[in-house]
Amino acid sequence: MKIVVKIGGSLADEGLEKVVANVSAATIGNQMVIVHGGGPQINVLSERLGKKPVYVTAPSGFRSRYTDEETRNIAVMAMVGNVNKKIVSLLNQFGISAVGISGADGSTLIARRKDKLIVQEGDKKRVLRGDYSGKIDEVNDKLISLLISLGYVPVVAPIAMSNDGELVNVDGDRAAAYIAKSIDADMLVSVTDVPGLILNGEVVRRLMMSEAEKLVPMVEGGMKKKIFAAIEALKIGVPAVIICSGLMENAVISAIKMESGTVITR
Amino acid sequence: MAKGNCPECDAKIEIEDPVIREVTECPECGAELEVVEVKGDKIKFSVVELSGEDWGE
Repeated sequence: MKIVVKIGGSLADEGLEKVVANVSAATIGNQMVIVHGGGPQINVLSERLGKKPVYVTAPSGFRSRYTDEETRNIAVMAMVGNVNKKIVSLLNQFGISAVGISGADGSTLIARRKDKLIVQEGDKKRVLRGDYSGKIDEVNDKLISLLISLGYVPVVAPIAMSNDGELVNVDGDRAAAYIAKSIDADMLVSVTDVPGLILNGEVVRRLMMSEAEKLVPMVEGGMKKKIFAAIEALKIGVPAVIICSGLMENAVISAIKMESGTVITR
Repeated sequence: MAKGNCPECDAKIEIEDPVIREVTECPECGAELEVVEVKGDKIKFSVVELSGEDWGE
């Protein structure tokens, strides 16, 4: 099977070894691409460099990072330079030949730079310029497919190229969804620090996309984004999305068999 | 109350205490407009073009 695994940034420090061991075990017999996040690592590096991370709220209520040019540079350092190489070195240590790239390498991820955001401040909306985040327009899977054909596991940091040749920060969940679509993956596995979508204290095991859409208003925080990303992935043609914990033993293998986590299908 | 016209459909728009970069919606054509200039009670707007709503970074 062709599988795209997204490793959330919340797992990229403590627990990363366990997560990568789980992902490594699931690599055997499958063609795998790993996409990772790095939000918390950007914040830590940013603070260390004396730059306070800035978050803004869109009129729709979604909170997102304001990525000015300095923050974009910090994001490249934290995700391409640090998180990506940590994952690659752990995979290699577990006997999996991995190659770390960013979305800019081989023009793998092409994004439209957003430049300006509309943010909600009290009862007024305001334009905020100078943003270096982007929305993925195109995936060129040549480099990823070449690496897979040579037996490597590509590990992709969510930094894309804009049409003007600028580096832009893109959402990791969305990057994983678009890569999954581009390589005709059988499934997208979103590995996080919780066992799936939890409602009324229990993990929701299976959902149709239409049910997931109805549940969105009842879900909060990071999981809301994961559900949105899953819906978007399904809408663009990915057959199945599984949200699972990367911390439990054999979590990823069991998720691929659809025996754990929250499985969302069309 | 300051006043201006929508650059898309010329509708009259009034805003209380407008500030530069404030965004409002034209009540006639629905265009999203940015306040780019405020002189006395006159406002100049420009249309805001975005690559779409987003929910991530």
